[in-house]
Amino acid sequence: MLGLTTFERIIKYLKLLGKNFEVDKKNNQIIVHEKMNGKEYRVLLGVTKGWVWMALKCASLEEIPEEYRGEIMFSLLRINNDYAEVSFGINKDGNILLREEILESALTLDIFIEEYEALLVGIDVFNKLLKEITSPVPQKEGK
Amino acid sequence: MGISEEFSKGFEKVRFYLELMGKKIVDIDERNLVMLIEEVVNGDKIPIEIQIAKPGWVVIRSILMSGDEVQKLVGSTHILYRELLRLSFRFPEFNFAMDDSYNIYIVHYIFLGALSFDVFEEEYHAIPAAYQRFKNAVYPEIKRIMEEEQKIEFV
Repeated sequence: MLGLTTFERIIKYLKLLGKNFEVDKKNNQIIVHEKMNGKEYRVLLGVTKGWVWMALKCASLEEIPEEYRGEIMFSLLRINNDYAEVSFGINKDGNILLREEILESALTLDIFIEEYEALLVGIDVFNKLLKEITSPVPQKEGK
Repeated sequence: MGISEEFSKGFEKVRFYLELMGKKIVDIDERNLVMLIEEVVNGDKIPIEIQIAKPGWVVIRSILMSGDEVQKLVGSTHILYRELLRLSFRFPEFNFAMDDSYNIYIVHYIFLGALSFDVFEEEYHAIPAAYQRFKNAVYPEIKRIMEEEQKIEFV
């Protein structure tokens, strides 16, 4: 794409996809506002050392009751194995994030959509997992 | 192009790329579209498995720790999981995953539509490099954290 930097190409793709976003020039990041199941999420995007990266915060470890944290982290590593498109990690502030990377030279609209959509699939997977682990199993009556 | 045809093409492409890179395939399962390469880095043999998987990914992975080793860390596995997830976020070359036998892998995925020599070469080379780094620096550091947090003695 003649004349456009990788960062500008991402902006172009987001416009084509009709996303609601803002550019944080100071931090060289783009913030996309997503709404899913009535909840708002912020997807961060940027370009660092030849990679286009995108990240979506799922939850803070601290928000999760301590007794469930081990099981949640174990499940996230299992999901990293079972879902090719989903990759969970934890940042230095203890936030659980979904992260995707695209080699700058491999960036096309099709690849961008694939990886971006993976974040949205991932948050859905995460929310279901969290509910499943932290919801008490209904007890049978009488015993 | 049907799915199986697309997968076969992807498989042949990967085989061709490995040839270009001078890599020797030590085992191949054409039915399940899996091939195994053995890298030797600083005397360590590193098995790298490459598979074309549904719904359209090239999966490159190498085992880092066996499930038996992980299960020995009774009481501190959550620290191991936390540190692996932290590293997964911090370094794009580290994407850790675990199977249902608790084996820990370093894994890279390439969307079949994005498969090109440059991308494959980059992702492939990241595996032995990350393996070495894990063994030499990361795991000793994780052990140190586990010892500190749990006061566990490692033999």
